[in-house]
Amino acid sequence: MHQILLVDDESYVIDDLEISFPWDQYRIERIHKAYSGMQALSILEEQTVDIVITDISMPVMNGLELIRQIKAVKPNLPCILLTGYAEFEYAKEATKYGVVEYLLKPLDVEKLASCLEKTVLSIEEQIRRALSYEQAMNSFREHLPSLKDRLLNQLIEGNL
Amino acid sequence: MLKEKFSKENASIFQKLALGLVLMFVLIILIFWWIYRLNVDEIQRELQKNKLGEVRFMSSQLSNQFEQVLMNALTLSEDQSVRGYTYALTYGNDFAKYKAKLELMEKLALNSASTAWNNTIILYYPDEKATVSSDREFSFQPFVMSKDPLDKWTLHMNKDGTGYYSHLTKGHRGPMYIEIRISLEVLQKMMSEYTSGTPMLYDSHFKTAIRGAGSSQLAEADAQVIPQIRNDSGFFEIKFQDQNYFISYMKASILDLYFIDYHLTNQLQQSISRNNTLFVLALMAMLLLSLLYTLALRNQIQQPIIRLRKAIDRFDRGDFSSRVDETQTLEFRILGRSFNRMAENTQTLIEQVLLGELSVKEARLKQYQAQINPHFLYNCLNYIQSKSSVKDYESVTAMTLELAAYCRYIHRIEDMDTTLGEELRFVNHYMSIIHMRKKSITCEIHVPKQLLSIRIPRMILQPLVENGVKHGIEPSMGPGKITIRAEQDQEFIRITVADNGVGMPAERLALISEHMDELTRPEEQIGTGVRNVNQRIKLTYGKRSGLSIQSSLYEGTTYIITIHKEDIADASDSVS
Repeated sequence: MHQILLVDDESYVIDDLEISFPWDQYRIERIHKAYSGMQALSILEEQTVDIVITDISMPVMNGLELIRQIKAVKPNLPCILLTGYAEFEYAKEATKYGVVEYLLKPLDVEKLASCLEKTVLSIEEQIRRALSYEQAMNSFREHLPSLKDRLLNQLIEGNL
Repeated sequence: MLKEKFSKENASIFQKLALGLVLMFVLIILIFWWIYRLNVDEIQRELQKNKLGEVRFMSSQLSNQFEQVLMNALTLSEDQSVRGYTYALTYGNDFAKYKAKLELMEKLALNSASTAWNNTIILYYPDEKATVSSDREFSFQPFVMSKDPLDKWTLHMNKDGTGYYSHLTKGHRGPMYIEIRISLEVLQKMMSEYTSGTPMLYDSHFKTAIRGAGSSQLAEADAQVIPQIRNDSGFFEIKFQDQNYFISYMKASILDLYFIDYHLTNQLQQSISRNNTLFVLALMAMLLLSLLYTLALRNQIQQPIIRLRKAIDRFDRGDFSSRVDETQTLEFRILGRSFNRMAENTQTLIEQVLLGELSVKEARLKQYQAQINPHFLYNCLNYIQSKSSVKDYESVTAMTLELAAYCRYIHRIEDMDTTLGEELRFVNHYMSIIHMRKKSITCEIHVPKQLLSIRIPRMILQPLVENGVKHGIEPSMGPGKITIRAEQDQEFIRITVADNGVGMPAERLALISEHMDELTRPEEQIGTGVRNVNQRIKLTYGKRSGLSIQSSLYEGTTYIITIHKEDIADASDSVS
């Protein structure tokens, strides 16, 4: 199960989103909310967040700046950008920073859903891959003494 | 060389004029000097001629007198009583001798007195050892024969300057000599009667100078003068004791006696040069006067030119109301009037163009206002979508109604103006929408009721409020508040729109304030909104009204609309 961080200075956007969106369908169990860039960074330090969704236009630290700072610390954390009117060009530029996706306001829930689906799946894929690598390493370590035995025997018998 | 040429071209008319004047005067003085030299030469030539004439006259006079005296004596030698005296001496008794002597003496004295020159006649009878003279002194002295050469004028001169000329002649008949003595006093007297110069006689044979009374100081000049006396006549100049003398001389024909005239040339030259000085001084005064006149003229021309140039400069800098005052000089009055007329026309034209530009701007502004800000609209739509997603239909309804009212006001562009109350209501709609989206932003309005009805141009408050929200409150983190107040005093109505946002640095404020009154700066993006509001206020109410901004960093910005009360009446009149 995952945790998500929602960032927007206009509080109603994330407040409403928190209520209206079926988060658990996407195996998201916990929702963090931040009303400014600074707040978002402090939450990221304390919590293990898997996905960030942020608005672009915010005072003091805008969404792009926030993402840049997040990527500096956690390069693999997937970020989704919310863009209002006339911020589309910014959003395109933001793909350079490793933004997974950008979504237009007013928010189309289905687009958010598919975007989340994709992101969650890729996260899980990553985790699974990491897990199987771990398993392989473990069994290798387990079997290492018998492997060494076999190699020695073969050397003695002159089969090599 | 180049520099000189440059400066010549740069010299003003008056410098050239002054230079010309000075050159002209220098030329006049040169010509005058030349003519003066010619005159002096001419005068000197005339003087020489005169002097020579006088000297010739004097020397011929001398010759004549000497000759006459001599002739007289010779005539005397033919006389009966002179010849007969020897008989009386030889054959007469003492009484007869004495009587004859007395008679002869009387005769001689008479004869001597009959000539112009006083002279002494002495008769020598060497055989009889007798002397008879017109002067008693000689007649009764023992017989002493004169040792002078015969038939020659001989000078006898004492150290003190007295003396005489004597001439000894042998009588035709019988052993008898006649001596004539002419005293130097006679010559000195003659010289003293000569007044046109200082005369001197010089006997070249005896190398002796005979001077008249009062000319003894010239004796020292003899060393210079005497060697130059040659031939029968001539003239030359000497300088003696700082004085210039013109000296002319001529020899008397019967003896080696020169008549010499010393003439002081300085006297003449002094008077001429005094006249010259006067003339040059007068010329200088004239030059000075004409320079002064030029200067006065220059002032009369320069001053109007400077005034005209200043007016043109002012006009050039953009002060289209620049005019020239009337001046005294006719030419410049005409020029000034032409300039004023031109300036008038240009000003009218420029104002027309600016007005045209303004009205184009106004039209564009209306068009701009009629469009609802898409960013704003999107935000509203986002709000509606968001609220509907959580089934908060109250908020959806409220937002929809506010947005509808907002749009209605914006699209009523056919109305030129509105009341302050209407405008405030519109601002209220705007702020309600903002408040719904961001709860931390609020709005307060404090306007006295009697001011709600004043007429103002539409959409002059909303851009200021929007500015306050967008540039003041939204960039700050804290809760924001827009406060709108209106107040009035005797002269003005002031409407202030204040935010408590981030404010702006002084440089930015200065930049915005600086360009607030400029009409033509379409490319400048800074403060376009406030400039627009300012210009529309000025367009409606005139130059006394307008917008000003106060701001301090981190404390907020205040926009102040000042409207002159008198102009409100005018504005509403013109609108109605």
